[in-house]
Amino acid sequence: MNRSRPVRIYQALLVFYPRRFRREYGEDMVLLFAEQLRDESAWRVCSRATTDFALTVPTRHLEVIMKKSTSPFLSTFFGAVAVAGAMFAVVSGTSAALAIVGAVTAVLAGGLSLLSYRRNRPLVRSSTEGGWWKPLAAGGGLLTALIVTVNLTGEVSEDLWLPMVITGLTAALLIALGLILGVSHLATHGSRRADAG
Amino acid sequence: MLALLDGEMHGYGLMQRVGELSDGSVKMGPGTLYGTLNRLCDDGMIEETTDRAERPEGERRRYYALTTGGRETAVSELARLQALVHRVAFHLPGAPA
Repeated sequence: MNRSRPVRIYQALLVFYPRRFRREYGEDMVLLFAEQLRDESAWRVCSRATTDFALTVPTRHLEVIMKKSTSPFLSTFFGAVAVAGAMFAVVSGTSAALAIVGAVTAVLAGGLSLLSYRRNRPLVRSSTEGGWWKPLAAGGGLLTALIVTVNLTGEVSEDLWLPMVITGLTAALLIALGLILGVSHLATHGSRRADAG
Repeated sequence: MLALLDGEMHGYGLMQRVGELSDGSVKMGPGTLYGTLNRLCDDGMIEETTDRAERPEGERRRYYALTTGGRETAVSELARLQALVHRVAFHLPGAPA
């Protein structure tokens, strides 16, 4: 199909719209623009399309940002990998190589967890972030209780092994969650201060 | 949405209908029109009806119509606006008692 120059220019400008919107409605928008050009003066249609373009491109991008997924799956997954890596580094015994692998995994996964948490953070801040110290305190308390129990009872019997591992893992997860929320809270607090300054 | 009360329409028809209903004061651009259609589709107020009827050969335009919920919303919004205008007009100076 032969298209006039204004239509081709308009079609090229559609690249500034978000990809999903462009794929869904791009062809229709070009068709609509061509139909307008057929029925009205080119100057009027082009000036209206320019204003419309300038206003709607940022609006459509803002809508995409506002609809951004807030699923905590990725940050939780990487958080769990970080905790597993840290625990692996601790229990790897005398092997320095294994300890380093565990520590590196923990640091990388922790960073990815924090990054995905920040990327998926909703625009409207939830109240849970302000209470970041709660899971940290709960995890610390649980871990302390576990250590005290192990020290008091001496050797751990086989029956208690699984519950203790589960308790330890829960404590580690709570601590990791508290750390992620705390770091994120501090980072946001810092950026808000910078904005205010 | 009020422009779709007459039945299904394609984008350009809808744009012209909006112009008619507003006596030419509202002229939507493609970005505004399809952004609005996108939001209304997401909210379940309208739906695409292109495949529901035979179209002229080579027709590439997509058609949209109000859903049942969308029609109810449009009608109730129309009634609300009518009541509001009526109430305000009634209280204006010089209005019939």
